[in-house]
Amino acid sequence: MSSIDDKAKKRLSVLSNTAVGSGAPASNAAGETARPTYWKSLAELEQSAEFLEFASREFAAPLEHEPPNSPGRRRFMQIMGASMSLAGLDACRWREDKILPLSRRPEGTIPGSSRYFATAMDLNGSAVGLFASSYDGRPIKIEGNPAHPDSLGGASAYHQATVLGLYDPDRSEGVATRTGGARKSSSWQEFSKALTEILTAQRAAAGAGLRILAERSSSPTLAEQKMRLMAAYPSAKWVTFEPIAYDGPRAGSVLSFGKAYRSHYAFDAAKVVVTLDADVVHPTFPAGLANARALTKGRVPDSGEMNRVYAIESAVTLTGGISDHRLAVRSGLIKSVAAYLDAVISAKANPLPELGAAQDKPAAEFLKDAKVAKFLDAAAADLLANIGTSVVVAGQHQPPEVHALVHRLNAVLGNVGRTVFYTEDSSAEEQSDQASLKALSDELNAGKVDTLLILGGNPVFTAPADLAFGDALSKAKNSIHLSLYEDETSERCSWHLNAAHYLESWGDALSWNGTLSIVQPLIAPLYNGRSALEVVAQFAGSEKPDALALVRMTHAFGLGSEHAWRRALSAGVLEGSAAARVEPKLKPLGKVALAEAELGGLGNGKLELVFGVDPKIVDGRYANNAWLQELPESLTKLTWDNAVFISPRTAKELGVADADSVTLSVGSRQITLLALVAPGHADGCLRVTLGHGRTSAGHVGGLVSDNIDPVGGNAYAIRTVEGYDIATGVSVQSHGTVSYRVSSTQDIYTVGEIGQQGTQERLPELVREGTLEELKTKPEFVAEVVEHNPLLSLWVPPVSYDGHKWGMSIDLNKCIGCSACVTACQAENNIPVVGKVNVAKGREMLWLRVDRYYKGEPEDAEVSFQPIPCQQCENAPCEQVCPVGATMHSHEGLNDMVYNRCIGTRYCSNNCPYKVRRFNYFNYNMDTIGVTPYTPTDDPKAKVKAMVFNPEVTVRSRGVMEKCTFCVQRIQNTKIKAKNVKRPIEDGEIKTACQQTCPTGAIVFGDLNDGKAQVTALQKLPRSYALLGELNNKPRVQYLARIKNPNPTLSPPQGAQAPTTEQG
Amino acid sequence: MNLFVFPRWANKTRQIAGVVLGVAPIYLIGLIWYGASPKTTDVGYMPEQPVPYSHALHAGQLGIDCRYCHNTVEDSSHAAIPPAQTCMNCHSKVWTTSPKLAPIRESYATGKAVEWIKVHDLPDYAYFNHSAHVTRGIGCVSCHGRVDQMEQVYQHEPLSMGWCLDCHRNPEKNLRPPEEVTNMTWAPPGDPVEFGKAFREKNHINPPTDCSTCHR
Repeated sequence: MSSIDDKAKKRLSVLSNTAVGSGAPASNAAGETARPTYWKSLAELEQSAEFLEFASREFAAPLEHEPPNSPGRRRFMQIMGASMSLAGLDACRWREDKILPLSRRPEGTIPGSSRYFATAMDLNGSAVGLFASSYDGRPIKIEGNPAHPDSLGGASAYHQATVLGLYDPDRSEGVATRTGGARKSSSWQEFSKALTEILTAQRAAAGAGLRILAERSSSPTLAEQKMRLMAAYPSAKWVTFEPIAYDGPRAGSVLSFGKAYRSHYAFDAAKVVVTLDADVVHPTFPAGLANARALTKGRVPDSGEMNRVYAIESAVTLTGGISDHRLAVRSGLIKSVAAYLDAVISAKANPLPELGAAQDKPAAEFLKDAKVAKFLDAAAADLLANIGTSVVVAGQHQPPEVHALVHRLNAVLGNVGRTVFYTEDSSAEEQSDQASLKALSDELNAGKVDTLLILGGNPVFTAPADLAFGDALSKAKNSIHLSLYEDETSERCSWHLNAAHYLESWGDALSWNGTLSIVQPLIAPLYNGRSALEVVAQFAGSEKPDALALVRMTHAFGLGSEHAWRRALSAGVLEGSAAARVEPKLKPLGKVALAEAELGGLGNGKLELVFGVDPKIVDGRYANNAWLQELPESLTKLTWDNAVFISPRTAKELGVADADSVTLSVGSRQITLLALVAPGHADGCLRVTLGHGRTSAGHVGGLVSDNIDPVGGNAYAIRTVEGYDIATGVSVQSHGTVSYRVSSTQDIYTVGEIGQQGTQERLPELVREGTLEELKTKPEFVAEVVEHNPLLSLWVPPVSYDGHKWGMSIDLNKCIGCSACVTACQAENNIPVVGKVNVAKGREMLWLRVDRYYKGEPEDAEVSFQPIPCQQCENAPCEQVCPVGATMHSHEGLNDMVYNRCIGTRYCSNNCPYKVRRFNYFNYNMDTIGVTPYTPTDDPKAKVKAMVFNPEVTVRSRGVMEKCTFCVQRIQNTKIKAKNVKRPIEDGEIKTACQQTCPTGAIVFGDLNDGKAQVTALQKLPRSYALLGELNNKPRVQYLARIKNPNPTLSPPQGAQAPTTEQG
Repeated sequence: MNLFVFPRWANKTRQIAGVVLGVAPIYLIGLIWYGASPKTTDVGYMPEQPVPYSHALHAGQLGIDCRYCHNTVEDSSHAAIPPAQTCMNCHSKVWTTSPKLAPIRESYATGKAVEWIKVHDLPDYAYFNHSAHVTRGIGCVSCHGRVDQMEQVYQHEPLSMGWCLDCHRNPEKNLRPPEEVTNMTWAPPGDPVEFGKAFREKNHINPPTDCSTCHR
């Protein structure tokens, strides 16, 4: 009885506005302040003045008095008057449409239908196999290739977005020359002529003045052409440079084995995983997509068994997000952590004497912290208890010693050959990329380089700042840059060659484990560009290089027969081509210098700065991709910007507030950018992502020559050869709040003070979490989070759903928050980009959002992700309020959205409890892209831009509401295909775009009327729950509660954490 | 003085105005209803094509099956307009110098498309699938009329949403065995409605009327 009274009082306190007016957080009846269980942002947690002001406003931003470019009222009346009188004449018939059939239709081509072709995308020396759809000859959608070892069917956001890059109107359209900064258009013929002269001179000098600067590539054919080139010019030098951290693993392997080996992890066979500053599930980590699938495969609690992940890291990573235990340690101290683990584990594991002596226990100050020591001891004990079924893994940006220690730990723990495998790294260089580039830069400055060929990449922008590579480059007599855009590097080179996109060129590539894929073009080069392969072949002496012939020649042995070649092309992989696993002999490791004394303290000059790969635009190469710029970053939900992340304690110490503009100083170099206080970040550590701040990216990513400001701050400007992955001695100076509104989507749906309290109270019901122990002992705990009376209907449901009954299950245990699904949805459904200003006003259009909640104290906050598509309610609140029947219920349970009926009242959005409906405040496709598929145009650029639209989905105009449709175009097309031949639809045959790209398989879609369907089984699990199901709206999407597997010694079992509330 | 007094005939204006105001709205609504209906605006649309191709000759007199040219109709949403290659199958032998066929020969030689004008043009937000209809037994003639008698193709039916729904709700009168779909003169044995009902029952034909059937 008393508990009910308490609850009633609590409700009352929510409604009475007493505590709220003063801006204090929610308080219960007893008057003591209680921190919310879950929170969306630090501003919300601290109830900062700005946040309260924002929350109290009805609109996210003051409304414009007039729409952009609005004609005055009088002018409006004139136009309206004229159009009224003309309307009668114009309305008789719409625009005349033409049909242009192919002159000769290749066999098997069916106009107006999609076909998929296997291809692969190489990035930083390893490739991910993809399927690209071709609709009437143009690629419009990318999917992962399930047969490819690094994809397994998944693809990342940047893979998805490459189709937009293909049709980017800012792409370079031809060859150009520059003399003294003056640009002149040229052609491939003129380049060939110039090249003949250059090469004649070089041939005489055996190539002594020839240097090639290339991106890291896995292509065997490119390697072959490189050999040909080097044979023709023996004194030439080939330099590989990639700004993405790569050297730690190589050098660490050399330290451990005397030679470079690649590490492979069988996360699905591991019971305990310890990551040391390693985001193993991130797409930019080697084999990251495959790791994500393998790691989450071991995190299905329903069988009663689950792996346990310990993440020891500086920034909150996606791996840290799904981990069971997370410890925030600054990156420089990870070495001490590894040494500590080695000391503790070697003392107990009796390692073989040939592995050498263990490290001494490090004396670092932070290890004396009881919490840290307890954490590490528990992790060590867990590793020891799982000999041969554990994995220890270090991050790419960690120094070689950490990798060497990890190799040793895996050997001591008996993991090698069971969960950790090695293959030879044939592509490994002798030295680090930054050292190679420094050597090249020195040679350029010394005037030893006559001709420099730069194959892709953007070294003027990405090279360490202390090399002043742009200036060094101008000392070469001839500098030739092959790239997709006329970027920062092209502007400093005497020749710019326009490159072919990977969807336009033949090639080959190897996965991380060495599996061969053929890169197959989907379309002829739009601007007559050439691939790096062709340009190198031209340098090596081929008159008219043909990439296809070169690739076939390389694989003449393995894929000589037409049959074998076609099979490899269609499958996208050559089976059995993976590199052989080896068991290299571990060398004893000497004592590692830890230099802990220098690390510590939070003051200026004592900070460290980690340079990270941007999760969206990688190293800056995708900066001109609007889909990626607008994608909310997984943790901060930041769009159209980058920021330096600071831990809450460090920020306080340095006097930096959230969303301040700060100056970062590394030595004498400084940049100014946005600072974000990141919950869970390690103290004393700053993190900034590379690639933003482009000045010649294009009209999206920044083009200073056209008065388009760079997006974000350029972190390369403070990256030097010394402090390449982690810079030390960093200072931060705050300048107060930034002059613009930060375009972050995290607080957009905050409503008023009462609304906030309601949200806080409900959040534990929305994100249901528990432990494996709880699930085993009391599986119904998930359902019991919300107690409500039986749900009854006053009337018989008007629709029986006796055909199909579409439903979806989203496993919160598998969701890593990578947001690939969001971009997949955008690509599939023609979702417009609204731009930075409109995102700040809360007008983002993405149909699928991934909500991120923090839990616990800001210093070591836990993270939960929750993807929210339209829940497709059976009792849909949106349908009941539409005055024009623009959103209707289908017989299969979909909430159909009929754009041509919608008049834009937005009642439906107002009534939607999940806030998944999006309104076109403007004709975004017209305003931001400049074209819709229905716009008659003769502008060739506009025509190319319009090629990205998916013809299977209507492109919406201004004033129309839109939302997730469960990819109804895919449902309809599959249904028709199956019915045409009178067969039933198989389970899993229809995949929504989000489901198909998800690297972990967290999203499952199917027919709930099919008893054998996977989705039916998942929705019957005890941990399946509906979001706000107590409202009796019967959503068709259900979530599987997030289950953690904590170590009992670290978090003793407690009672049910989630408060129960009673619903009417 | 009489300047400010209404003349006697002015008394009638009330009746006239009453009649006009009463009838005019009905007339206007009727006019717009009829004038703006697809039956008026779209039926009979007969654009001039780049090649004066006669369906009456090819499909009617010569008896070429619809699917000889529109060969994707059973597999795809589009009943593809044939490539120039299909025309040249015969016209490399017959009428090889006809000036009317010049655009076809040019397309075949240069690879550039012949720019046919779309006759049956649905709005871009409506998604129609030929294969779904043809394989269920909806004849070509039901939507396109007697193409085998058309010298120049024109739109025979309104192709409006109401017209689509009429059939989706009561498809019986348009059903026939799928092997007879291209037969322009096929008539059901016995009572058409009875045949349609039995055929529908047997083949489980339940055309959906959900919005997302056509709009997505």
